[in-house]
Amino acid sequence: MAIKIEVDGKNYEVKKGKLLDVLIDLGFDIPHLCYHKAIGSYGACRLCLVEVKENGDGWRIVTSCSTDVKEGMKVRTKSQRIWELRKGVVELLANHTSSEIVKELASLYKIEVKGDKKCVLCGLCVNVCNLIGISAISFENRGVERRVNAPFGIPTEFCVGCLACTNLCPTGAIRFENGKLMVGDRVLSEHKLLRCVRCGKEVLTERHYEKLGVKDILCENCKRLMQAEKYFNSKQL
Amino acid sequence: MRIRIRHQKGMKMLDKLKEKGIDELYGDRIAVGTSTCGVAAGALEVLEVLALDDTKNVVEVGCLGFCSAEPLVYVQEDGKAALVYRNVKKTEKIEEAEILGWFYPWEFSPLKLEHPELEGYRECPRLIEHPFYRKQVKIVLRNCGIIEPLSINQYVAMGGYCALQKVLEKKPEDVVEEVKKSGLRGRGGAGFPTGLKWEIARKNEGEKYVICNADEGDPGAYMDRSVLEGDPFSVIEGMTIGAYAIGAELGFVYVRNEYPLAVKRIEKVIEIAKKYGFLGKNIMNTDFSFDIHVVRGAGAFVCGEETALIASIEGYIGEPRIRPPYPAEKGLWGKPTVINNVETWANISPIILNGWKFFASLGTEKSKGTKVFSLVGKVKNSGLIEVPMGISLREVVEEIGMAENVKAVQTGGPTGGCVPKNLMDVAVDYEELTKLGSIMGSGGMVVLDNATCMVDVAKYFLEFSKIESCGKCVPCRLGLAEMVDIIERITKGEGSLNDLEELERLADVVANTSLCGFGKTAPNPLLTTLRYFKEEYEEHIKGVCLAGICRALVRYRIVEDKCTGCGLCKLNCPADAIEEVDEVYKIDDKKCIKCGSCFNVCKFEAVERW
Repeated sequence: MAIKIEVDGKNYEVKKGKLLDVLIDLGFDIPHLCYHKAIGSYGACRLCLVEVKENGDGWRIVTSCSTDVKEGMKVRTKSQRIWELRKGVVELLANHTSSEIVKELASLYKIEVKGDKKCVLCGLCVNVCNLIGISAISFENRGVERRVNAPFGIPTEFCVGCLACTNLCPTGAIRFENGKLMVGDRVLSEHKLLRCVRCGKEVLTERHYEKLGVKDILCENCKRLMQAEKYFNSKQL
Repeated sequence: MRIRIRHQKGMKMLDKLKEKGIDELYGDRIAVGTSTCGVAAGALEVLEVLALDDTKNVVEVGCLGFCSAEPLVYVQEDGKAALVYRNVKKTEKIEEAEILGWFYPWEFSPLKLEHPELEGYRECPRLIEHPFYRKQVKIVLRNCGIIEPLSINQYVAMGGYCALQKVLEKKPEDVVEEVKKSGLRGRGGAGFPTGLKWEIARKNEGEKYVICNADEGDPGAYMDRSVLEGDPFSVIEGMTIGAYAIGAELGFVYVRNEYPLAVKRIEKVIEIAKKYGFLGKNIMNTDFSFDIHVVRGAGAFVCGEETALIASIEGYIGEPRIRPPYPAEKGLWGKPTVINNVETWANISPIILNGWKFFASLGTEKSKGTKVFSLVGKVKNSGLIEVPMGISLREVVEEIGMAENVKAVQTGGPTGGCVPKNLMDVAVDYEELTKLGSIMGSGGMVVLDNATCMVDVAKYFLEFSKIESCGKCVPCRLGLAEMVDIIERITKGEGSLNDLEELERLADVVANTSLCGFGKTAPNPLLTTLRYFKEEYEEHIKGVCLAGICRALVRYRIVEDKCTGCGLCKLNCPADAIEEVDEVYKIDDKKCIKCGSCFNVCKFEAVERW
């Protein structure tokens, strides 16, 4: 059933869901770092702020990632207040981190990027790892000391090397290099890489191979080639 | 769930326990307050000495609240009321200690209690007329310092478990209604109506839980600890009633591990209550079953935030989660959960026993009942007090605390604010304190006198919040850290007027964009000191700390003409920075750490601070 909402003075009919998803579908540019549709709301980056008004209440500042759209909801995405607060959050990020995405955001608000770290602690890596049932990596420490690491700082053997984390990371802070999962100079997990039986290209980690339970290790290219061979044989060209 | 009372065994048992308890409570005894505050003041040594006389019945009780008078010992003998001695030393005979006053053991409780007649003392003052106790109304602290904390007999003699018995004969929804009508609001700080919380949880279906939040971590505040140590049964009775009302069968007490005595006591009373059928299967011979587990917190301040606490019980990192959904809808393991503070739970049984009208008759229009505060800092009488809501801050500080030269009162813990002296007529209730930029919080009340530097106070609390921020959300993690950097600069005399604007802007971002209540309130100490003591910030920017607290801005020197050469300053200098030169003393600026010891010990005002 369609839900009627008003965004920045215009009326829309939308499907139920999280306000952030709805606004993005409608074409509004709402910055966000810690939200992913498949992961759900986490509420860490505080960038997707909007103002909403429901029933007879006054305007409230909420994170759109954690707000469900409701019939008759009024939304402001570009008010002065939202701009001020969002700029404040971006500035904090720009003072401490310097990834491409933070640089882009900072340039929108004409803020100088002074930070040096990449990780913005959005939590997507940790959350996806938990969600797919691996739970190998975690946060450690509190406050400004908080960082992503393997529990107790010991490289973990629970990581299978599926690389869901590196694929979701918005900043490139968590990365897979030479068989090592790393954030900054910390090694979170070490892996033995297995090669494609046909072409010898490094394809996946040993633990991922065991977890997947497939027979042969093949790279994506060789898999396609084998399919192609089957195709041509079947046509008996 | 329909509860059926099978037979009257429960009632008979209560009567038996009560009888024993009355004998214990009003018979001859010497009671020593051995809560953590008493222990810190030397109560265990006093207890040891008193216990040497095996003709006397020497018992350990909780805290009577008057911490600056600890160790407190009272004597009940020969059919007389309790005579309280203050600041008792292990070396003296009890009769030689200073008398604080006398009291009837039942007179602090709001409940109607059966008791024998005891004779008062004519020659010395009554405790309830002492300035520290005169304005107090004890509901939560009704049994603290009166009963032996682990004695179920004495707890029942003070009206314990009568409320649970009464509740088990009622419909759960009527219990919720009673609490709702009483107007009780969450004592953990946010002040959400307790009855409403229960109602929401009651309406949600399925497995449910109740939790007692005892993760008290405010510097200088120890309301919950004192209740858990002095009257632990009242907390688990409250929880049992709450569980019955919402339909829960399992509860948790989340208590910080830094409260070893509280942990021990609560674990013990759970065991005892189970033995007597007040917990466990078929409570008081009804169909209602309820059990409580104790979970020890590992010392993160933010775990006092309800969603972080729940995450911690579940075994995850103690960091807050997005609300809504609120715990009453989806809490522990995604099930409806009522989570209340220790003090809230301890209020439940008196509300049930005396009825909601009794509770609602106390306090202000929107804040009912009483509130426990830990009154500390620059006060003559410090300790735990329980006063009706709506009492003025001035009465608390000046009449109960007997404070002099007050500059401000810091209320609401590390994320609360400073109320200046000229606004101390404010009524203590949730809304009024919020209007002044402070909060009720869980009940910390730190009195600051004229020797306090307000910039230093703000710095202290901001640093606390910076360290205790879990770091999950950007504004709290980074914003507080930046605020600390700026305020540190100011206390070193390196600040500028722009820094004040920057601080206000950062405080606005942190307060309005943070994920949980901690970040939303953490800028309060800064915002209130900036609002009421801006001139002190400006002085620091000019390089002056009038209170002489900020070390980078003060220097000490010895005025030769006034120096008598006694050498006391040199004796007390921890940095070996004072030298004798021609029978007078001089401070070596390079070695001086500016602790002010010389300034404080000099009897001739020869040490100058400038």
